Amino acid sequence: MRAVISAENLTKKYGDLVAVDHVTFDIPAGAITGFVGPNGAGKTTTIRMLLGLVKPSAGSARILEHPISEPETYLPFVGAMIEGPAFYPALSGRENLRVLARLGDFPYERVEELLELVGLADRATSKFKTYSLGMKQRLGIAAALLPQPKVLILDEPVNGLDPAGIHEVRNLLRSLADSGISIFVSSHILSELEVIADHLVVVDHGKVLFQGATKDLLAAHKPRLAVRGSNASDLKSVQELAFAAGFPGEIIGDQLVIMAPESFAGELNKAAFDKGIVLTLLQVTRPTLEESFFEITGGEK
Amino acid sequence: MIRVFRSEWRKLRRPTLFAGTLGIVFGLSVLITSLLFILLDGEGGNGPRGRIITRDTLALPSGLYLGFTNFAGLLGTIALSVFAAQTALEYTNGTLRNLLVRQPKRLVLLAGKHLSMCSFALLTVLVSAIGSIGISLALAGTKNVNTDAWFTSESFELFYSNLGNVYLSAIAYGTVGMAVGIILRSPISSIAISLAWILILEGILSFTVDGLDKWLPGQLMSLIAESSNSDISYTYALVGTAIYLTIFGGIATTLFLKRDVSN
Repeated sequence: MRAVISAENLTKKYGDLVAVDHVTFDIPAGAITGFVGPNGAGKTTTIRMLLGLVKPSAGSARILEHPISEPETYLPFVGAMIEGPAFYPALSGRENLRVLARLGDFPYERVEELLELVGLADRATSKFKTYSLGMKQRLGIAAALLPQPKVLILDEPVNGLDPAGIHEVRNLLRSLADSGISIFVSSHILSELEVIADHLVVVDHGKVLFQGATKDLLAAHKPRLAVRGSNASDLKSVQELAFAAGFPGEIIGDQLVIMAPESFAGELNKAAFDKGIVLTLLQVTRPTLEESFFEITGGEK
Repeated sequence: MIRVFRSEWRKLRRPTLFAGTLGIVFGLSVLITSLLFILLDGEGGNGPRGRIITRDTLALPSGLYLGFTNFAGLLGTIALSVFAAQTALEYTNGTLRNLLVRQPKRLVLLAGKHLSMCSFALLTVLVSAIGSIGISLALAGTKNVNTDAWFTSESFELFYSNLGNVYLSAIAYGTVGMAVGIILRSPISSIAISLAWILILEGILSFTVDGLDKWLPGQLMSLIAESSNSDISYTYALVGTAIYLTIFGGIATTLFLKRDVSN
């Protein structure tokens, strides 16, 4: 696996506070990598260090094989949106992009292309301060795409977007990744990352708790069987049957949730039938990213 | 550097800033120069701080530019405000991070920003000169000021030196504003503290403590525009200003280069 971003023991301290604590991870090329963690976990500080905005207290990182101590060597190939879109309120969306296009020596035609791409062409002349949060977010993504980047670093890109907007961004990121752009995206909307991220880096309290393929994280946690009987009183008997087979369960509302593999479903169904219990629901459920995340972070706590 | 310069001009040319600032500069320079002529025979004085500028003084080759040089202090404070606001707003808007991602060489970014604002200051100085000289020419006849000396080669030479000195004074004020903007990272604090120091505190100090004005940065920067006064020479004002700018500029540049961008 070729890494476009590699961090090794990257650390940032503010006095006694350790915002990022010896973080080590690799971001694979051509994939979408989610950067997951609660507020204050150190995500934004890590991203700022990668972009040369914040100097690490210790450790190192490389982007496109260049050290982050020399941001001028790799930033021409990197697009970024950090901690929400920041633009000049009195300038139009188009002018804001032109300020950055001029600075980065990108043609103005690229600005027009991107305004079209993010659906802001018809509001290009409106002042940024009149934009909705979703429009601001889309302008931020357009600004990040200005350099036709090899690596795209986005901090909370779907913040404030409505479901349709989230769907659009998801499709956009997928198509960018399919075109070979490596995307490193932080979000606190875990369900969103579960859908789009091929890889994940999970951080909490400045430390990396997991890094790897999203499917590996989800597979690492046991699947569950959700069971419902024709009579609510039957659930207790089914719980005992499962426990006897070595799989503990918990009655939640009108359902019994058993921590057991899919293969146990048939065995349980037969055992219940033999005891005269009719199961009206027997469903295998996989843990969501959110559940896996809380399991990892909760485990650490 | 050129890219930064041109990028900054996209912000400087927005109508509220560009037309607003130049309009104010033009209007104030016309107003202040008009008062020089309208109050010519008044008992309260027609110059700054109640100074009396006579008809004979106005008739000198330098008379055409007296309104312009009198306006220099105010022009300086306008330059200071524009430089401070344009710099500090990058922090409060959070836009500095975007600029640094596109131009990671911080010294180049800083130099380009400064250069663009110096060019903006040049425009304000030119507009102020046009307003002031224009109204002087218009009002001289109505107040019986002899303008023969205004159209001599000596007067033309003075035009360039006055223009140069007022411009130097304006960019000195502006550079201080930019430095304070970087240090404080807030446009309101930067402008309020700088103006309170230059317009109020320095005024009080120079009135109350004898000989202190030769050590005060605002006084020295103003004196560059006026060329000299009875106590302080032009060279002294120039060197004193350069020392202050080196100190302020050095601190601000170091902070800009080294400080984490976390907003």
